[in-house]
Amino acid sequence: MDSAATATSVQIGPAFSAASAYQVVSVAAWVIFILWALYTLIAAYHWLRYGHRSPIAIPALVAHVIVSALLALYAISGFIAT
Amino acid sequence: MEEFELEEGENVILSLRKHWFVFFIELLPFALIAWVPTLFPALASGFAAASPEALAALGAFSGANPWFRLFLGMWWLVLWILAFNTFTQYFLNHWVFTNKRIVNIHQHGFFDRHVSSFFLIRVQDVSTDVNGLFATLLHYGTIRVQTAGADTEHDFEMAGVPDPTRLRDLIMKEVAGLHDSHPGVGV
Repeated sequence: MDSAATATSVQIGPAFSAASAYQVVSVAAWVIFILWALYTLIAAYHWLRYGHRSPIAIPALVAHVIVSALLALYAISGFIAT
Repeated sequence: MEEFELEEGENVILSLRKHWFVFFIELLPFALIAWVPTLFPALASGFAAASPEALAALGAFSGANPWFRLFLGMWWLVLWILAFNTFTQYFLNHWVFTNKRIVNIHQHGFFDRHVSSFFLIRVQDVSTDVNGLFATLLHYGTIRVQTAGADTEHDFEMAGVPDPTRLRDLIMKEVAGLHDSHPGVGV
Protein backbone atom coordinates (compact mmCIF):
# COMPACT_ATOMS: atom_id res chain seq x y z
CA MET A 1 0.00 0.00 0.00
CA ASP A 2 2.74 2.38 1.04
CA SER A 3 4.97 1.48 -1.87
CA ALA A 4 2.08 2.04 -4.33
CA ALA A 5 1.38 5.46 -2.87
CA THR A 6 5.04 6.38 -3.08
CA ALA A 7 5.23 5.25 -6.68
CA THR A 8 2.16 7.31 -7.60
CA SER A 9 3.50 10.46 -5.98
CA VAL A 10 6.85 10.03 -7.71
CA GLN A 11 5.11 9.68 -11.08
CA ILE A 12 2.73 12.60 -10.52
CA GLY A 13 5.33 14.88 -8.92
CA PRO A 14 7.20 16.32 -11.94
CA ALA A 15 4.07 16.58 -14.11
CA PHE A 16 2.16 18.30 -11.29
CA SER A 17 5.02 20.77 -10.70
CA ALA A 18 5.17 21.83 -14.34
CA ALA A 19 1.40 22.29 -14.59
CA SER A 20 1.00 23.98 -11.20
CA ALA A 21 3.85 26.42 -11.86
CA TYR A 22 2.05 27.65 -14.97
CA GLN A 23 -1.28 27.84 -13.11
CA VAL A 24 0.19 29.61 -10.08
CA VAL A 25 1.85 32.22 -12.28
CA SER A 26 -1.32 32.68 -14.35
CA VAL A 27 -3.57 33.12 -11.33
CA ALA A 28 -1.07 35.38 -9.54
CA ALA A 29 -0.62 37.50 -12.67
CA TRP A 30 -4.40 37.93 -13.08
CA VAL A 31 -4.94 38.80 -9.41
CA ILE A 32 -2.13 41.35 -9.51
CA PHE A 33 -3.37 42.77 -12.81
CA ILE A 34 -6.90 43.25 -11.43
CA LEU A 35 -5.56 44.95 -8.28
CA TRP A 36 -3.21 47.11 -10.36
CA ALA A 37 -6.02 48.06 -12.78
CA LEU A 38 -8.28 49.06 -9.86
CA TYR A 39 -5.50 51.14 -8.32
CA THR A 40 -4.71 52.77 -11.67
CA LEU A 41 -8.37 53.65 -12.29
CA ILE A 42 -8.71 55.23 -8.85
CA ALA A 43 -5.41 57.10 -9.20
CA ALA A 44 -6.40 58.33 -12.67
CA TYR A 45 -9.74 59.55 -11.32
CA HIS A 46 -7.98 61.57 -8.61
CA TRP A 47 -5.37 62.96 -10.99
CA LEU A 48 -7.96 64.04 -13.54
CA ARG A 49 -10.52 65.23 -10.98
CA TYR A 50 -8.18 67.15 -8.65
CA GLY A 51 -5.13 67.75 -10.83
CA HIS A 52 -6.62 71.06 -11.96
CA ARG A 53 -6.02 70.25 -15.61
CA SER A 54 -2.33 70.10 -14.90
CA PRO A 55 -0.09 69.26 -17.88
CA ILE A 56 1.65 66.75 -15.60
CA ALA A 57 -1.46 64.58 -15.05
CA ILE A 58 -1.53 62.66 -18.36
CA PRO A 59 2.27 62.14 -18.64
CA ALA A 60 2.33 60.91 -15.02
CA LEU A 61 -0.41 58.38 -15.69
CA VAL A 62 1.23 57.24 -18.94
CA ALA A 63 4.56 56.83 -17.12
CA HIS A 64 2.80 54.81 -14.41
CA VAL A 65 1.26 52.44 -17.00
CA ILE A 66 4.52 52.02 -18.96
CA VAL A 67 6.72 51.38 -15.91
CA SER A 68 4.15 48.98 -14.45
CA ALA A 69 3.92 47.07 -17.76
CA LEU A 70 7.72 46.79 -17.99
CA LEU A 71 7.96 45.49 -14.42
CA ALA A 72 5.13 43.01 -14.99
CA LEU A 73 6.80 41.77 -18.18
CA TYR A 74 10.08 41.33 -16.33
CA ALA A 75 8.27 39.39 -13.59
CA ILE A 76 6.71 36.88 -15.98
CA SER A 77 9.59 36.81 -18.47
CA GLY A 78 10.99 33.63 -16.94
CA PHE A 79 7.77 31.77 -17.64
CA ILE A 80 7.21 32.91 -21.22
CA ALA A 81 8.22 30.24 -23.73
CA THR A 82 10.81 31.48 -26.19
CA MET B 1 -10.86 75.61 -8.83
CA GLU B 2 -12.98 72.52 -8.14
CA GLU B 3 -12.56 72.58 -4.36
CA PHE B 4 -13.58 76.12 -3.59
CA GLU B 5 -15.17 79.14 -5.18
CA LEU B 6 -13.39 82.44 -5.28
CA GLU B 7 -15.32 85.27 -3.67
CA GLU B 8 -16.01 88.55 -5.39
CA GLY B 9 -12.81 90.56 -5.60
CA GLU B 10 -10.71 87.55 -4.63
CA ASN B 11 -7.87 86.42 -6.85
CA VAL B 12 -5.28 83.69 -6.62
CA ILE B 13 -1.77 84.97 -5.91
CA LEU B 14 0.12 81.74 -5.61
CA SER B 15 -0.37 77.97 -5.67
CA LEU B 16 2.27 76.04 -3.82
CA ARG B 17 3.38 72.49 -3.10
CA LYS B 18 5.97 71.17 -0.71
CA HIS B 19 9.61 71.57 -1.66
CA TRP B 20 10.89 68.94 -4.11
CA PHE B 21 13.49 67.77 -1.60
CA VAL B 22 10.76 66.83 0.88
CA PHE B 23 9.24 64.67 -1.85
CA PHE B 24 12.68 63.20 -2.64
CA ILE B 25 13.15 62.24 1.04
CA GLU B 26 9.75 60.53 1.01
CA LEU B 27 10.78 58.52 -2.08
CA LEU B 28 14.18 57.47 -0.74
CA PRO B 29 12.92 54.51 1.40
CA PHE B 30 11.27 52.97 -1.67
CA ALA B 31 14.54 53.15 -3.63
CA LEU B 32 16.43 51.52 -0.75
CA ILE B 33 13.86 48.75 -0.30
CA ALA B 34 13.88 48.12 -4.08
CA TRP B 35 17.66 47.77 -4.01
CA VAL B 36 17.77 45.13 -1.23
CA PRO B 37 16.83 42.00 -3.30
CA THR B 38 19.51 42.82 -5.88
CA LEU B 39 22.08 42.11 -3.16
CA PHE B 40 21.08 38.45 -3.00
CA PRO B 41 23.16 37.27 -6.03
CA ALA B 42 26.20 39.12 -4.69
CA LEU B 43 25.67 37.50 -1.30
CA ALA B 44 25.41 34.10 -2.98
CA SER B 45 28.74 34.54 -4.75
CA GLY B 46 30.26 35.75 -1.48
CA PHE B 47 29.20 32.53 0.22
CA ALA B 48 30.65 30.42 -2.61
CA ALA B 49 34.18 30.41 -1.30
CA ALA B 50 33.11 29.68 2.25
CA SER B 51 30.58 26.97 1.62
CA PRO B 52 29.59 25.27 -1.65
CA GLU B 53 26.43 23.98 0.08
CA ALA B 54 25.39 27.54 0.91
CA LEU B 55 26.03 28.51 -2.68
CA ALA B 56 23.71 25.77 -3.90
CA ALA B 57 20.99 27.01 -1.56
CA LEU B 58 21.49 30.65 -2.49
CA GLY B 59 21.71 29.82 -6.19
CA ALA B 60 17.94 30.25 -6.27
CA PHE B 61 18.47 34.00 -5.79
CA SER B 62 19.74 34.72 -9.26
CA GLY B 63 18.23 36.35 -12.32
CA ALA B 64 18.36 32.99 -14.12
CA ASN B 65 15.72 31.58 -11.77
CA PRO B 66 12.25 32.48 -13.13
CA TRP B 67 10.72 32.33 -9.65
CA PHE B 68 13.24 34.84 -8.34
CA ARG B 69 12.51 37.10 -11.32
CA LEU B 70 8.80 36.76 -10.59
CA PHE B 71 9.39 37.75 -6.97
CA LEU B 72 11.68 40.62 -7.99
CA GLY B 73 9.28 41.94 -10.63
CA MET B 74 6.31 41.81 -8.24
CA TRP B 75 8.38 43.36 -5.45
CA TRP B 76 9.36 46.27 -7.69
CA LEU B 77 5.81 46.60 -9.04
CA VAL B 78 4.38 46.94 -5.53
CA LEU B 79 7.08 49.46 -4.62
CA TRP B 80 6.44 51.38 -7.83
CA ILE B 81 2.72 51.60 -6.99
CA LEU B 82 3.54 52.83 -3.47
CA ALA B 83 6.04 55.38 -4.85
CA PHE B 84 3.53 56.56 -7.45
CA ASN B 85 1.00 56.91 -4.65
CA THR B 86 3.47 59.12 -2.78
CA PHE B 87 3.88 61.23 -5.91
CA THR B 88 0.10 61.48 -6.31
CA GLN B 89 -0.25 62.69 -2.72
CA TYR B 90 2.63 65.13 -3.15
CA PHE B 91 1.02 66.54 -6.28
CA LEU B 92 -2.56 66.73 -5.01
CA ASN B 93 -1.62 68.32 -1.67
CA HIS B 94 -1.12 72.02 -2.04
CA TRP B 95 -1.79 75.46 -0.69
CA VAL B 96 -3.52 78.20 -2.60
CA PHE B 97 -2.83 81.79 -1.56
CA THR B 98 -5.40 84.39 -2.50
CA ASN B 99 -5.57 88.04 -1.51
CA LYS B 100 -8.11 87.06 1.20
CA ARG B 101 -7.19 83.62 2.51
CA ILE B 102 -4.91 80.61 2.46
CA VAL B 103 -6.59 77.41 1.28
CA ASN B 104 -5.06 74.17 2.47
CA ILE B 105 -5.93 71.23 0.21
CA HIS B 106 -4.88 67.97 1.78
CA GLN B 107 -5.29 64.54 0.23
CA HIS B 108 -5.03 62.08 3.14
CA GLY B 109 -5.60 59.13 0.84
CA PHE B 110 -7.85 58.13 -2.02
CA PHE B 111 -11.41 59.39 -1.47
CA ASP B 112 -10.24 61.30 1.61
CA ARG B 113 -9.68 64.94 0.75
CA HIS B 114 -9.75 67.84 3.17
CA VAL B 115 -10.04 71.48 2.12
CA SER B 116 -9.77 74.22 4.73
CA SER B 117 -9.49 78.00 4.53
CA PHE B 118 -7.65 80.41 6.76
CA PHE B 119 -8.73 84.02 6.36
CA LEU B 120 -5.87 86.49 6.29
CA ILE B 121 -7.87 89.13 8.15
CA ARG B 122 -7.46 86.98 11.30
CA VAL B 123 -3.67 86.82 11.03
CA GLN B 124 -1.66 88.45 13.77
CA ASP B 125 1.78 87.00 13.23
CA VAL B 126 3.61 84.83 10.74
CA SER B 127 6.77 83.01 11.77
CA THR B 128 9.17 80.84 9.81
CA ASP B 129 11.31 77.95 10.94
CA VAL B 130 14.21 76.72 8.82
CA ASN B 131 15.78 73.85 10.69
CA GLY B 132 18.59 71.58 9.50
CA LEU B 133 21.40 71.46 6.94
CA PHE B 134 19.33 70.57 3.89
CA ALA B 135 16.53 72.97 4.78
CA THR B 136 19.07 75.78 5.10
CA LEU B 137 20.94 74.93 1.90
CA LEU B 138 17.84 74.27 -0.21
CA HIS B 139 15.68 77.01 1.30
CA TYR B 140 12.64 75.22 2.65
CA GLY B 141 11.00 75.24 6.04
CA THR B 142 7.87 75.65 8.10
CA ILE B 143 5.55 78.64 8.29
CA ARG B 144 3.27 79.21 11.28
CA VAL B 145 0.41 81.62 10.88
CA GLN B 146 -0.95 82.74 14.25
CA THR B 147 -4.26 84.31 15.11
CA ALA B 148 -4.89 86.85 17.85
CA GLY B 149 -5.46 85.58 21.39
CA ALA B 150 -4.19 82.66 23.40
CA ASP B 151 -6.23 80.10 21.47
CA THR B 152 -3.75 78.24 19.27
CA GLU B 153 -6.32 75.74 18.06
CA HIS B 154 -6.96 77.66 14.86
CA ASP B 155 -3.33 78.49 14.09
CA PHE B 156 -2.15 77.33 10.73
CA GLU B 157 1.07 75.50 9.91
CA MET B 158 2.65 74.69 6.57
CA ALA B 159 5.62 72.33 6.70
CA GLY B 160 8.18 71.86 3.92
CA VAL B 161 7.30 74.98 1.95
CA PRO B 162 9.90 76.40 -0.44
CA ASP B 163 11.38 79.80 0.36
CA PRO B 164 9.44 80.39 3.61
CA THR B 165 10.90 83.87 4.17
CA ARG B 166 9.58 85.18 0.86
CA LEU B 167 6.24 83.53 1.57
CA ARG B 168 6.04 85.12 5.02
CA ASP B 169 6.70 88.54 3.48
CA LEU B 170 4.02 87.87 0.86
CA ILE B 171 1.44 86.89 3.51
CA MET B 172 2.29 89.88 5.70
CA LYS B 173 1.99 92.20 2.70
CA GLU B 174 -1.47 90.85 1.90
CA VAL B 175 -2.50 91.06 5.57
CA ALA B 176 -1.33 94.68 5.74
CA GLY B 177 -3.27 95.43 2.54
CA LEU B 178 -6.43 93.88 4.04
CA HIS B 179 -6.10 95.87 7.27
CA ASP B 180 -5.59 99.07 5.30
CA SER B 181 -8.71 98.46 3.23
CA HIS B 182 -10.78 97.23 6.22
CA PRO B 183 -9.61 99.28 9.23
CA GLY B 184 -10.82 97.93 12.58
CA VAL B 185 -11.72 94.50 11.18
CA GLY B 186 -10.00 91.32 12.28
CA VAL B 187 -7.59 91.66 15.23
